[in-house]
Amino acid sequence: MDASTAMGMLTAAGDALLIILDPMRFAILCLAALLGVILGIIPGIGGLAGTALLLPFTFAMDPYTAFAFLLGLSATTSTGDPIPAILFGVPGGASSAATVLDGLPMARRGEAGRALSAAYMSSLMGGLFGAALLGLAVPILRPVMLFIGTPEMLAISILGLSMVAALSSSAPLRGLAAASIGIMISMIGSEPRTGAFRWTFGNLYLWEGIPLVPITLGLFALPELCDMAIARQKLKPDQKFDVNLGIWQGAKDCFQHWWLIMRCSWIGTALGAIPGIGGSVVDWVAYAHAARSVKGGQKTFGTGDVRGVIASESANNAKEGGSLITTIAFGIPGTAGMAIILGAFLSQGLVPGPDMLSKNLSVTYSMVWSIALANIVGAGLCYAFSGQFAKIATLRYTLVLPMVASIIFIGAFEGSRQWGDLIALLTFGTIGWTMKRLRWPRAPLILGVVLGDTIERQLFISIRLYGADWLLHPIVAVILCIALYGILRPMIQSILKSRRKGGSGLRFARPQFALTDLFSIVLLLVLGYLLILTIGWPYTTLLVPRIVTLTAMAAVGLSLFNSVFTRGALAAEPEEGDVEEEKALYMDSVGDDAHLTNRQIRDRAAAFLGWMLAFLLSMATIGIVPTILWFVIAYMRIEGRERWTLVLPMAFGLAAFVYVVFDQLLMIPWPRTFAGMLFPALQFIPSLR
Amino acid sequence: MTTRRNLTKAAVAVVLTMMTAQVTHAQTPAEFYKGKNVTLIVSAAPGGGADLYARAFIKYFSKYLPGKPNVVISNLPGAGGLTAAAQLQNSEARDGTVVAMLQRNNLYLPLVSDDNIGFDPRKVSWLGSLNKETYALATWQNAPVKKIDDLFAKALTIGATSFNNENRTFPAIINQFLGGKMDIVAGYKGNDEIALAMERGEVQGRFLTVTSLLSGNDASWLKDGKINVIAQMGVERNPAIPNVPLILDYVKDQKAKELFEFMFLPLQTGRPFAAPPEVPADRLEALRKAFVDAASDPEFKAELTKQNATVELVDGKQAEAIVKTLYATPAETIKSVKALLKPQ
Repeated sequence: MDASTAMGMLTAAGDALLIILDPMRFAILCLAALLGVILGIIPGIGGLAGTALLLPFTFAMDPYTAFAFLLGLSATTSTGDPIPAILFGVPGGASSAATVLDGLPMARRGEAGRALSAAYMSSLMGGLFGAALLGLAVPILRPVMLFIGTPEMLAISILGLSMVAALSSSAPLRGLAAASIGIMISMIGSEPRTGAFRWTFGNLYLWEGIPLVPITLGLFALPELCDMAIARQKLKPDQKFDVNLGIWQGAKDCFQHWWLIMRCSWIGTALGAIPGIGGSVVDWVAYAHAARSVKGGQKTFGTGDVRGVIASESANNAKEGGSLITTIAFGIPGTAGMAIILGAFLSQGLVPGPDMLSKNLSVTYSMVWSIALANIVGAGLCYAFSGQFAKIATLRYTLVLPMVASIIFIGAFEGSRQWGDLIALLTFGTIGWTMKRLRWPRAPLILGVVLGDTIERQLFISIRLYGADWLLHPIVAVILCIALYGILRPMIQSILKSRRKGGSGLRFARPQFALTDLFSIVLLLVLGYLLILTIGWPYTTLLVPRIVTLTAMAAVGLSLFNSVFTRGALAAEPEEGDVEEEKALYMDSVGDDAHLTNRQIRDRAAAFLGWMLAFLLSMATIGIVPTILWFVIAYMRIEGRERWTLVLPMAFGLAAFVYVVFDQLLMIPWPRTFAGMLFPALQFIPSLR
Repeated sequence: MTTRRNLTKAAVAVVLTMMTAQVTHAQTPAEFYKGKNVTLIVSAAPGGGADLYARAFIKYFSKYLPGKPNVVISNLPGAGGLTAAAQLQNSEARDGTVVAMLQRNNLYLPLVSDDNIGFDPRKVSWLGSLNKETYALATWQNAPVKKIDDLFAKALTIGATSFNNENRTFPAIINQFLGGKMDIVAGYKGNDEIALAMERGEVQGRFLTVTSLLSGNDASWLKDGKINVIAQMGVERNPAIPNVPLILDYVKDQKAKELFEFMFLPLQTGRPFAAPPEVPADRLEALRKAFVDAASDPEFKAELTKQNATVELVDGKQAEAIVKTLYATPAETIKSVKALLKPQ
């Protein structure tokens, strides 16, 4: 690049900053940031519905203002995301799920302020870094992207999937099984290459696969709520730490770990730029990377290590800059949110591609500035309300649970706006809770769901185009070696360790069965049934699903064998070191109900499921708004005997909130209800259609 | 169980009919629509081309509907528009407050699918379509196929999205009936991903709508001579590309011609709109008229021109006629279409 081009770029960047700082535009940017943070806090909604709704308003704006508005909104939703993740264990968006693992234990310890502050500050730094990287990369965007073909994308996807090894290090077989099952879930639906339908059971809902939102909320949010109901206590026993001190500490943590933030921001930006991966797994990949690379991470991650929060959130915000790269340079949206931004391009008459990097360079730079400024404004807003947010963590479960549960149902329904979403939510909620209880890692499953069909798709394209030669592309070879190393390293380490000890590794004893083995047995049966269903599929359609199903069955089978035959040995002579290590390595949130009997846990879990089913039935009969009304009242009165002066304002307040925000503003098309169909006269009641 | 469900359905139908019947006699469409919300279900995700058409359209649709109701959009993507189509036919309100923007494959897929899709294009009431579509085959500058004769003589790697998409079925029938030598690589996510693959040399060409060809990057590629347009696919020649050969002219065999026409005919309803079955006649009439008036509004057309999109109105009667023609196709042709779409 010669000097004059460089000068041209700098001038364009400077001009763009002045354009964005125009008072009217900046005011709109701030408004967008405020909306973004609020939408981010609401679990599952993740800004998508809001952005789609606000898109037409940008038709009348000039391009700079339009993008400031839309990008301001989408960039700050990920700043708001960690708030419910830390306070309730309910990720605000799919890409905040990893924040739960360390954020929630911190809040339970009384360090909500510190965790929140660390989340905002790392979001801010990650967001700024992502924007800076985008800004610097502008001149080389297209040449670099043209160099990266389908095989290279495939290698990066495989690298992402290899993180499964790091996310399940204490239970590699179960991690492998979960990842394989995740891939199987991603295969559900119509298969693009051959048009065959895989595991759709003749159901239209399954044609395009199960959307990610109900899966994530089911796997991570519902189990936390259920355990909240089982433990029956407020989230944080008491305010052990001063909130303001915690906030100060959280910010300090970020500056201390700036190098970690840089690395995770790179991960976020790079993965955000890969269409298909698009941000839904960046948090896990960054988390896995951090757990492995920081000092003592393998022992403390999952127990409330602030570095876990920092890793996940910095990557989460950095992805926005990354996903804008392919959108600007080629018109290929990295995420669903970017697809809407792309709509704004079209409506403004702008064409993504070379023009954006030459003729419309100032528009491109205004986008970079919009993301950067929105991150600052968003983090500022969050800090302003931090004290209040931290207090929410001290509320009783009877106050929090009915509200969060109601919102989760709406969030899941946003997946594809069909009943199937809600059924998927409850199904994955049950699976997620069982996995959490039986200590099966849940993150590998999400990685499998997100990356599974992308990998299959890219694999077949690569093979069609290059045969086996795709493996020899230099970038591909390097990335695959890194992935292989990541998978093999834990294995090599454990082998070396057992050598040093001179132990014989596994010790077998007489088989002992436990009730928990039932889960593995049921899983094996289901997997076997799904395997049988693949009979009759076209060859290229069944190849990957069959391999993955067999892998899952082998992993589940071996894990079952392992626990049945080593249970006796472990009980007979507990190896202190091993047991201790196994506990520390388990990377998932751990409940706090050790004082309860199994029977109590079972009864309370069943009661929780009952409440959820009642909610769904009632929603199908009389609509969601009336359902929320009685649900909040009933739950608070029956479970907690809360006083009426508290119950009624809460119930009516939440119902009114849902009515105004979701029914009137976002205009979510509720499903039709039995009552609405039988008695059309009742349709004046909100959401009763 | 089934009987009971049927009974319930019957009961619902009776009650519904009674309610609507009562209301119909009491109100004119203007009185009915005044102050109401009309929902436009869009069968695609927010942000795409279809969604933008709809979002620009609702303002004008509202303007020309009697009583000027508020028209709101509700996105319901899924199963290539069939989710929205099935919901429109089976469970949406039939009082004229719900209409949907469907997709052109919805007009013929139920006819050639063995699955129970829950949608029959003959059962809903068509309001019309906002444009007609034509397909074109564009190849990259260094591809061996530069003009139509090359297509039948030289190999060509083309990118496609999915098996049932026109960008896979059209080259497949050209290969099968006209001796094309295209290697179809399906599995790309979206049109722009194929464009990128073409630019970096993974594939050499692709089938795309003429609307895309004449807007966006393809337009500048076309101007700079980076792509060659080899052929166009449609039942009639697109006036925007008059010199590009029409594939249908090369189809000599009568049976093959019927198949090509069956595949191309749905393109005539590029952005089809429909109302549920049993909408009261006066309101359906009002919806259809408002659709025509809104689509003809010069301001609406100007707005779409700014977005690089065009409007070619197809009214409800014409759309209905197209469905009728499709459903009158000889069984033998249907059989070959089924073979074409059968999973391989």
